[in-house]
Amino acid sequence: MNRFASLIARLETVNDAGTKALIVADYLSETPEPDRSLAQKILDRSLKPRPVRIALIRGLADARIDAELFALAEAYVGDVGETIALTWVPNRRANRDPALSEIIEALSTLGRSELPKRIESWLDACDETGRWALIKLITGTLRVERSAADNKEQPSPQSELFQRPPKKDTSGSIPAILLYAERTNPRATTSPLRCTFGVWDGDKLAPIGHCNVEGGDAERLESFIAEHTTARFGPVRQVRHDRDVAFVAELAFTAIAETPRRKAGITLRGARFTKPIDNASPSDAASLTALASRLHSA
Amino acid sequence: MTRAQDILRLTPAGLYCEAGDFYIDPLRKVSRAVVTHGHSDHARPGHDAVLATKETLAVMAARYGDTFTAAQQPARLGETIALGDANIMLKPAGHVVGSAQVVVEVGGKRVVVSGDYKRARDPTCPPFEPVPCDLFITEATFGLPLFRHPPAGDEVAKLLHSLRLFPDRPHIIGAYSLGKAQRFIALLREAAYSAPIYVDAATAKLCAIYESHGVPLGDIRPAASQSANTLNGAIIVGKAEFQNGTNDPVTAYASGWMRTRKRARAANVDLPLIISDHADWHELTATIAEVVPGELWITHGAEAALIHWATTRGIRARPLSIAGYGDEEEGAQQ
Repeated sequence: MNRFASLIARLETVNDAGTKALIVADYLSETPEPDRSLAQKILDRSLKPRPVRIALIRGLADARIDAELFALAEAYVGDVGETIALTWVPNRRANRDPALSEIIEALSTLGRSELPKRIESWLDACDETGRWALIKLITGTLRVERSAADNKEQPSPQSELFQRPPKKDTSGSIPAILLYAERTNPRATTSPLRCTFGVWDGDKLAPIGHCNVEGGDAERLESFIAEHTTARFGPVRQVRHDRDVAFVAELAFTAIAETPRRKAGITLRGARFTKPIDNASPSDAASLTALASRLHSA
Repeated sequence: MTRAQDILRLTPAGLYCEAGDFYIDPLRKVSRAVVTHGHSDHARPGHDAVLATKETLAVMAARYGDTFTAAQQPARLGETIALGDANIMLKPAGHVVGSAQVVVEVGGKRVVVSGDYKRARDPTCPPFEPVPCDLFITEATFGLPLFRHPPAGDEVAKLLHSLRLFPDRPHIIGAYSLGKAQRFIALLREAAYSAPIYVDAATAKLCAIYESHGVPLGDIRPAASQSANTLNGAIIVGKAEFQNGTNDPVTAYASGWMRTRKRARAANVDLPLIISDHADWHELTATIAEVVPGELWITHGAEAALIHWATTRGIRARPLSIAGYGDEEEGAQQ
């Protein structure tokens, strides 16, 4: 599981399709059957084991870690499964981590009463990346990051992964305006800021995505927030955002998604704060119509 | 009778010891500073006198020029120095070259200021020495139970594996120029990587200080003057700006913050590597248990979890908010 997990983790950070393909090919070439075929199926999304509820795994973690410490860690990490993976302290070191085939088989054969003990032993036997991918895999939340680019010319290695029709690439970056901000952990003044950004929809601003901001950028945002808060909703601060005064920043994103039930109708996926845009006028921010046409022409 | 809590107090300029009339890692210009290590958030120029290890003084001189202070006072690790009514002693902190904890004794009570430290092995500096004390002032950069740094050698192996997979591509490792870069290079050498390693100008200057203080780093060359083809298949350590002058580089970033997927993705590099010169959660708690302080003060931000942990073990703990520390490491990541 550990090797498969580090493959999944690497596919998450590598951007270039050719590099991804080589990393997958390298992994498969060093993986014996039956794990090799299983890994291919998981990467292809043609194998999805019957999911285990995260609450079951959370229950296992509760028995291992102080609740207050877990809560603080979860507030920082922002994902229950990953928090469990990172805070889990193995009781005993197993000789080896479980093979993919072992996990897949146990999930389909073990009864409800036997499963928790087995999962616990897997969590003890894996490293932290292994635990992270294991939890994602068995709760049905594993997302394999395939190439966010059109790579028809890319030679396909053994994996069928890259023979599928490429997904439309709608990634990019835009200038956007800060609408709301809150601390991800209200108890820690150094916790990241969760920020909602918007783009122009006529003369108003429509929220189109959110992301966390920390470090030096967060300090810049904080001083703006301190001077320009216009309303508070619990921990959430609304900041001034009009044609005269607004905080303009560059947002990068992995995709533009249609979200008809949201106010703006579209949402930026995988949004990331790249940098504040100094000296930008609020009018320089992107518009909803431009984003929508970018989505439909992709 | 002296209470340990009264030996040091927080002032706008930083931690001040009245009995010895000195500041530890002051943020503003003061008459006498005791400096734990050379990172710019701890070591600032312009104090009248600076007491530190000779390595730290060399780092400050390299960064700020020889005139960074009027009076340099080198202190050996383990040497007792009387300052006014206080006795101080520097003990190794295991953070970067020359890094030290400051032990302050006044009226039979002992305070230890950890500075930045780690317990993991580092071939470039002597290991942290725990000193039992009445009051321990610890950093808590990674003060959450999710932070457990993996063995640094495993992370270096990931880079070497990538180099085997992409033998013609330059590998650029973003690493902080003081400490992280040299530790990373030393670990590469331990892994039998003997080819030239290319570095940026700031890192080169600090590598030279490591070499002159007895830490061999092998064949180090400036990256800036090389042709793009020379750098194909080479390792480059330092600021990531070289990307522009290289062919199709594999990018990596070495930082303890790479522990969470969110931060790893946000670093926007191919290969995030979890390597830190700060104590992880396990090292922090193990160290506190070892020095058994009557009281614990916690600096550097992430204090809530550590205060909870200490309190449940009967140790009085409180945060000590010194604005400004930790900026260097954070800034390096941007």
